[in-house]
Amino acid sequence: MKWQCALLKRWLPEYPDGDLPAWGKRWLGSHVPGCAACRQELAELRQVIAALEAAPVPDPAPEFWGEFSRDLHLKLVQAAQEGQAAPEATSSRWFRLPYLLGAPAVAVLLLYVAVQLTGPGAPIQNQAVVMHLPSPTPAQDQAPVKRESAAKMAAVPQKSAAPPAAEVAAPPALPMEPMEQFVTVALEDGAPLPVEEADISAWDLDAELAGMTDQEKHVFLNNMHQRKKDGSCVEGFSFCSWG
Amino acid sequence: MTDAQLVSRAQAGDLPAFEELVQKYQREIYGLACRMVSDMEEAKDLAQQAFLQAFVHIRSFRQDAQFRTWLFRIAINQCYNFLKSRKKFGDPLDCDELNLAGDEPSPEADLLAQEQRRRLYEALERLPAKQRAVITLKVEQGLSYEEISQVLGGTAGAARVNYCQALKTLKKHIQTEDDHEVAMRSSKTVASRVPRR
Ligand SMILES: [Zn+2]
Repeated sequence: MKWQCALLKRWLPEYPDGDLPAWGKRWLGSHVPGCAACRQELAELRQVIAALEAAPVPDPAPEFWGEFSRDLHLKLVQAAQEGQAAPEATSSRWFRLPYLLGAPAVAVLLLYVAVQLTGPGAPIQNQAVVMHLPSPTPAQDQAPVKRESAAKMAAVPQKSAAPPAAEVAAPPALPMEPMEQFVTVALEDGAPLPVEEADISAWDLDAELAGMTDQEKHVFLNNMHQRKKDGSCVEGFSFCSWG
Repeated sequence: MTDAQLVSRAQAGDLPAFEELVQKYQREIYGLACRMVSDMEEAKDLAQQAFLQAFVHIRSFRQDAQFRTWLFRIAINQCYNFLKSRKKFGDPLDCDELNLAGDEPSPEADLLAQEQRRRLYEALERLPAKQRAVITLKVEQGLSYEEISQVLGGTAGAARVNYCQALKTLKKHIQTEDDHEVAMRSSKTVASRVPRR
């Protein structure tokens, strides 16, 4: 059963009622109570979590927050005066699209994505970050400036200085460690995916298998492929009975 | 007022509304930055930068997302950029400041807890930035794996794997051979005494 432990240990921190899909809870619930190795692992993980919870970042004194607020207020007012915080849009998305497309920032963004996609060992997971970064919004698209809002900001009329493209579109810094390559476990074509299956379909298989011996890996992968082949694992291998 | 209402106002240029959001999340963002860069002064700057960026880009925020998650993402990116530049320019890590902050001269009984905390902070610093981020978001900020994936990119499953790896690496770092027993025993003691934030 060692390879099963190797798989399940990734979920141990959430045992018994944490952030787990229902089938994960069932699987853990049927395995952990009877497995000494998993129970030992669980106890150790819980001690690390307890240590973390016991040593929170110290909350600074009230004076710190007073200074923090004052400093930040000045910066915010300055940003508002420089027109960096764009006025509320009254034009539709379609109206704004040409301006967005025209922004050099978009070019930088696309270039970055392209490099990520085509470069060696392209880090797949980073694309999501790129895509979701605050999108470059022109500071002065054609929407009329709301005088009321501007007055609330700082009682200074907004200038029309565009935010520097580089600042707006700066790609997120790459995490320090090598990126993992994700392996998507292919499920049956057209098989309807229950929501709780979505997670497993995006398993980082390399990482999942990392803790296993060659023999365990072999057993696990054979098991998975066999079940896919004979159709006993139609909606994803998570519902297969292992053993 | 809810986040959504405050964000709407901020999007319309209402600075006080945005500052209310700042008040609400400044501790979380500052705490996150502290964990990420292990430097309280830098963490303060980074937290301010994160809020400033959020303000500047507030109109690109879509209300179907969580403002808090969005803010975390901006803060994490600020921290990544900082760490990258620090690495580039070779500034040494300075964890002493954070280690000792909040530690008042204490009776001998607390020495164990202090030692445990120091060890933990050092272990955290040795983690890859992303694992440090995952652990902070999960344990201290209480985010779900789904929310963590929204902050850091990738899938919820990847966040889960990362979290588990981070815990295991931390465990390894904390458990140095000579005082394995001490470290583990004291973490239990401390855990029972210090309330969760
Ligand atoms: Zn087991």
